[in-house]
Parts: sequence; C-alpha cells; structure tokens
Amino acid sequence: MLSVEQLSRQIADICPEDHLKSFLQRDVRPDGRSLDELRPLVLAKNVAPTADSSAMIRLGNTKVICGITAETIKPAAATPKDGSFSVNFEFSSVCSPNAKAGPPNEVAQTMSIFLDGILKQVFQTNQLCIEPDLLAWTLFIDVYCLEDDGNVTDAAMMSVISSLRDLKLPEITIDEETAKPLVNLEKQSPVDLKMFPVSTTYGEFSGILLLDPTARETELGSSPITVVCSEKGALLCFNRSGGSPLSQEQVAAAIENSKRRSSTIYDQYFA
Amino acid sequence: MELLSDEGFRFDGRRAAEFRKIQGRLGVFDHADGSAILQQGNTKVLAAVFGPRQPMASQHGAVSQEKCIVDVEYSRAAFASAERKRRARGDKKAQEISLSLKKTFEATILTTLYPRSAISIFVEVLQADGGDYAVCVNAATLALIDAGIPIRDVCCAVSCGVAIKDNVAYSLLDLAYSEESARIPTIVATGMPKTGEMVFFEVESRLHMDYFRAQI
Repeated sequence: MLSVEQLSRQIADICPEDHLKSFLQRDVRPDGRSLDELRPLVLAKNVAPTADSSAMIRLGNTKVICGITAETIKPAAATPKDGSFSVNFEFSSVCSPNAKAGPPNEVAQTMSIFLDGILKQVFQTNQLCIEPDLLAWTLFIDVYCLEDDGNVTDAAMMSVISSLRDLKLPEITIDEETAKPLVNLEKQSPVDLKMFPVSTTYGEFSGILLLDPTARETELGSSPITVVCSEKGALLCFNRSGGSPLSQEQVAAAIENSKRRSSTIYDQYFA
Repeated sequence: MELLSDEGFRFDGRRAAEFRKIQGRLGVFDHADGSAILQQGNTKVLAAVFGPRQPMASQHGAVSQEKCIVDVEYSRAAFASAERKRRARGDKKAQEISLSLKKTFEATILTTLYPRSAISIFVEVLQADGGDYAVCVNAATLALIDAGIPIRDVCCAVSCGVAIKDNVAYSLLDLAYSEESARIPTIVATGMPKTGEMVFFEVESRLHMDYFRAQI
C-alpha cells in the first residue's frame, strides 16, 4: 500500500507537468510552499578549517560549500596597487551521477563568471595591496556544489559572501632593511565589502514565477530569473537568459521582492 | 618532530595504536542512492553512490553480461589541504587513486548480482589531514551500505606508519598529515574484517622485511 507521498512522487515522475500544474492552480507547490516562499535556509560557518574562511549553505536539499584561500603574489605590472581574486565554481562529482572528469562544464563556468561579476562590484581589490608593486594578496574563492536540488545560484552567492565576510587577513609589513615580508598573525583584519549582495532566483513555469525553484521546477519551466540586490536595495544584477516572455509587472514585482529579501537576509545573517 | 615520545604519546596525544576520533553519518544526500560523510580526526570525506543503474553511453565498451561495472571517481576540494592546490579533475594523482578504489570495490561488491548495470561511487575529500585514501575507502563503504548494495564484507582501510625507537618498531595507526610528512615508511591496507582477507596493500618507501612482517 503506497503512502500519499509515494503516490505523489510516482505521479510526478510519470506526468510531471500536470502534477506541477495541479498544485499551482491551488496557489501552492508540491512541497507545500507558497509561490514566494523560500525553502529552509541553513548557514554553517568555518566548515573547512583548512581554508582561510569557509561557509556552507543548505537551501532545502541544495548544498553549496565555499572556501577562500589567501596567498601573496607580486601585483600585475599594469595594476601595481591592486591585489586580485578569482572565483572557481564546480559541480562536485558527488553532485551528479553524470559527472565527468575534466574541466568544469558550461553551467559551472557561467556560474563562475556570474559570481565574479557580482564580486567585482562589491569588492575593491586595492584593499588587498600590501606594498605597491611588491606584494599583494590574491584570494582563491572555490565554490563546490555538493547537491543540486535547484537554485544553486542563490546558495552559491550567499556562501561566497558569508566566507568573504568571515575572512581575516593577517597584517604584513615589509622589513625596510631586508625587504622581506613580516607576517603578524596576532593582528588580523577583515576585508571590506562595499555592499552585501543577495541573490534571488525565480523559476518560471507557464508564466508563473516560483521563488527558489527546486530542481524539478527548474527543469519543467523555461529559464529562471536571477535578481541580485544589495541590502540597501541597489540593483546589482538582473539575469534572464531567454525563456518564455514575462510581463513588465512581473519583472517589477520580482525586483521589488528581491530588494525586500536582500535586506531581510542581511539583517538575519550578516548584520 | 618527534613521532613517539618517551612516554609513548604521539604529537596529538594519541598512543601508537590509537585511532583519531571517528564521526560519520549516512544518508546525507537526497539524490544519491547511498551517501555518507566520514571524519577521522581532521580528514573529512564525502561519498555518494549511484546505482545499480543503466550504464552511461561512455561505458558501453565495458558492459559485461556477467557482472556490473564499478566506476569510482575521486576528487579533492582545492582548499582541502593546508596549501591550496587546484587540480583539474582528471589529473594523474586522482586517476591513480580512482583506479585503486575501483579495484578495491570491484572485489568487495557482489557484482555478479547486477549484470549489464553500473554502480558509480564518487568520493570528495573536503579536508585532508592524513590518511585520505583510507578514509575514502571507509566513507565509500558506508555509502554502499547506505545504498543497500550487497557487499562481500565491510571494507575497512587504515594507514600505518612505522616509527623505530630504540630499535623497536612501533606501528602508528591512522596517520595525521604531519606524521605522513615525516617520511616514515607507510603502509596503507584495506581489509575485510570477517574473512580476514586483504584487498589492497600499498607500501611506498623502504622498510626492512622484519618490520614489515610485524606490521601485517
């Protein structure tokens, strides 16, 4: 005898679109959420002590982990007063049975570029300079998706920002006589973020926007919309790569909702 | 660094034959058929098992009528070790470890029960503090148990170093990274407790035969 949940899941496998439609007609989603409700969000800090700072985000079943490693380099000749950072996003092999060895696939590369783009707006690399033209910090930001149940974007963004916020860099001074760097581990200072970007993603199914889509909702719909806003309501990014057309009211509503969400998340987790 | 003090303690206060603290959980991933996260001391490994399922197109050549294909992939987070190492996912070290894990589990899983199918095991090292290979084997075994895949016996692995003090050889079990870097002879062994069989054995350094027999 099957339980209601098992029966529901089997129907979802056989005729997924009808299954989702029947729920949406009642303004609710298969997992019981309303159209603009988030899944439970859990933020765990310092999950990888070998990294200089790290964070793991669980958004429903989606799990993303970020680790930041700081190293020192000689600044590039063109930008002697700037450090640098690089974001590398990958789907871990435990994430998908179809994972293949080799360089990250296009979805992963797109995510890396997206995260990099947002960071460039909120994080200034001149604060990473230790001594102009001699020594600067470079941050390696590694993000791994451990489980993908939709909306990896929001989870990844939050894990990066949380890790950056917790990052503390030791003070380095250059000894005048020997020209060698002296590291002072006693004195560590955090990095400065101009703004706190929070990403909000909506799946789109038959013209209806679903906040924080699960993997199945993303699969069934056309492409999702991602809006990134700072905690004060500045719009940093609006991303929609094709998909069925949306009305202007929907776009405006999505942006407004994102702004509100950004300040809520900021107050809850980063204030 | 002194591996074994006069009182018989290692650098982290353990005795020679003492393991690090082991913490593990099964069923951590929803989408995998079986999954586990295992932590021995500061080494943390995630394992996920998918299968038995239809082999992927790329595996068609290896499909067998008598048994299932076991496919293992090992990877390591860039921030896993104290020094960041970004390795492309198909690099030689990872492939070597993947191959040894594959051989180990081909021997452990009752492959004849699932002909023409494939079982995929994925292992991700999140934190590496010594004994990574051994913890990977243990984590993968737990994930297989969680997936309910029939196995011959529980496959356990341990790394063991030989410290020679006053002409007596002491086995240091479950090495930490600092002990591994001390370049003592190391043995990594995987065995099946019930049957007493050894599945995998690796020694990478010079070791006098007398000491070697003692370690086994």
